[in-house]
Amino acid sequence: MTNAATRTRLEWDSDKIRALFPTLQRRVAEYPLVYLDCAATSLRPESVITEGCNFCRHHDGNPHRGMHALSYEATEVYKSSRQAVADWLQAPDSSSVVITRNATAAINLVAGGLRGKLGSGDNIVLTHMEHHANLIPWQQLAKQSGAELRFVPLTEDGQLQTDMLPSLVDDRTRVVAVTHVSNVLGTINPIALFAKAARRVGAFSLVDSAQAVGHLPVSFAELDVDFMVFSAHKCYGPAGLGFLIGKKAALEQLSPAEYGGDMIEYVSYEEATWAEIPQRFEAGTANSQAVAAFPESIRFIESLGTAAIRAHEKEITAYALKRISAFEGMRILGPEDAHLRGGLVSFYDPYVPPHDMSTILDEHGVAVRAGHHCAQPLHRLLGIPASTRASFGVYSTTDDVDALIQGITEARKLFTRKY
Amino acid sequence: MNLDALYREVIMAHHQHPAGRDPLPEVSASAHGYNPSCGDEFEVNIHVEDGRIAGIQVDGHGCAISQAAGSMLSQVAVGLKVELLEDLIDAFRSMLKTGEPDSTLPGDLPVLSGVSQFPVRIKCASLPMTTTLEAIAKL
Repeated sequence: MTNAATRTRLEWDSDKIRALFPTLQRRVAEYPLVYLDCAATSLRPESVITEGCNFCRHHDGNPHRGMHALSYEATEVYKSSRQAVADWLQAPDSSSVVITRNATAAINLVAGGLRGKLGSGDNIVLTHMEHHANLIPWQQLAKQSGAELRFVPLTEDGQLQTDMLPSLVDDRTRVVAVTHVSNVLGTINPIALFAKAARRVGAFSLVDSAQAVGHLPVSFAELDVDFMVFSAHKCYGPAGLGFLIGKKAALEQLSPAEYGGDMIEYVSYEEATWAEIPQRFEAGTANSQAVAAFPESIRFIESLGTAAIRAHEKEITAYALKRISAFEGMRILGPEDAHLRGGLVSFYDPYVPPHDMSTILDEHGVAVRAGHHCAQPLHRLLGIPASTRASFGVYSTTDDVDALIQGITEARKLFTRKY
Repeated sequence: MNLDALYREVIMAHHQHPAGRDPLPEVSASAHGYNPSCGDEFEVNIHVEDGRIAGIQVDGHGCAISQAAGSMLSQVAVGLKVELLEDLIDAFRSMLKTGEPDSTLPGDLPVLSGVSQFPVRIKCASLPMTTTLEAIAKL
């Protein structure tokens, strides 16, 4: 692997990178597509699409089952994909990488795996900026166990009040779960602090890295959490695939939350014993072509380098923050400083409702997300019904931001006229 | 541009000056409508006397299309037999599918036919209607 992290910004060749993404060739409403919804799902480079297709064309077996060549090859594909993820994110080894449907399923796997292990008097510490995926599985676990939910509150500018951690995390805390990068506020959170607070009291720590992996340098070893989850489709990979990375000792304490084929060792009509980790948590056949394709996403990301990607997204974000906040009355959600945030900007326009903003932008070929972005409680806390979000990736340019600004200007014209 | 079909002046006028917001002195049934994908929200109160809509309040917040649809509905509902209001809502929802302006619909409602060109927005125009049907179902 080249030392991509040390590459300079001068080498960033937007045209060359954009040419790798076939979807960017299309038009929407007669305009070239401006894709600013990377936080919902990123586009996929041709090489990743081809790799998935190649699996179907040449291998296509069901892993871990058959004795024939195709099944053996599929098993090898799973092994190498797991190893690629472990190497990339500095997980202890490939057996600490569990294949899931997406990040949501991975969090459910952990929360479901702790059923029956918490009781009344225990507590789970979350934050006020969590995606529904890192809230509802814990709500359900709390209801089932009688445990209390606690929340780290926000500062005025949308960061976490980490000084509250010592009072919120106590000797009855069993889980501390936090998002790595907020999908609404963009805030990059100090995960190591949360992991340390959890470790101090012997609680599990989980980080939802869905908006971080592929966008900034991420190391499971450095963060020193018990569990990390992410989705392949948010980092230039295929949909229908996610990962749970766990420390061995932590994974061993989880019960399987899904049962069936492939996760067992010995089965009678009455009883079953479980397979080793990680297969214990992988009931049924996964999305094999996605599993096969994902190492190509990693190769693509590493060909640019996560440090260079981070620098690029930060530059686009800073430019977007400057341009969007220049509109009179516009409210930017989250920290004002691009250094503190990932590659996204959510905003609330007092003149144009988010849904209308999104429709008008779409008619200009600009794809953004409008709504609550799977964070209803956070929007209620912020006192707004919904927001509009522009999110960036390797293919984003300042021209894209200019197209967004042009669209917002048109929307404002339409909505500020007196009727 | 298609946007002109969606954001007609009459729709924007309803959005900026919505009708039917005033509380009713008497309420026969209420319903709450919410579109979880975008945050549009309605509270519909109806007052029925002798099988006819004697009063309707369509209160809410959200996008221009949903707010205009609620406002237009409130302007035409009063005086209608409850069954007729249900038929009217059915006809309105059919119009959103076909895109043909239904000139038999009263008031400004035919103007919303342009929404059919924006499939993701049909739910917006429908929300005050489905919420009203929910209130009627509680009578």
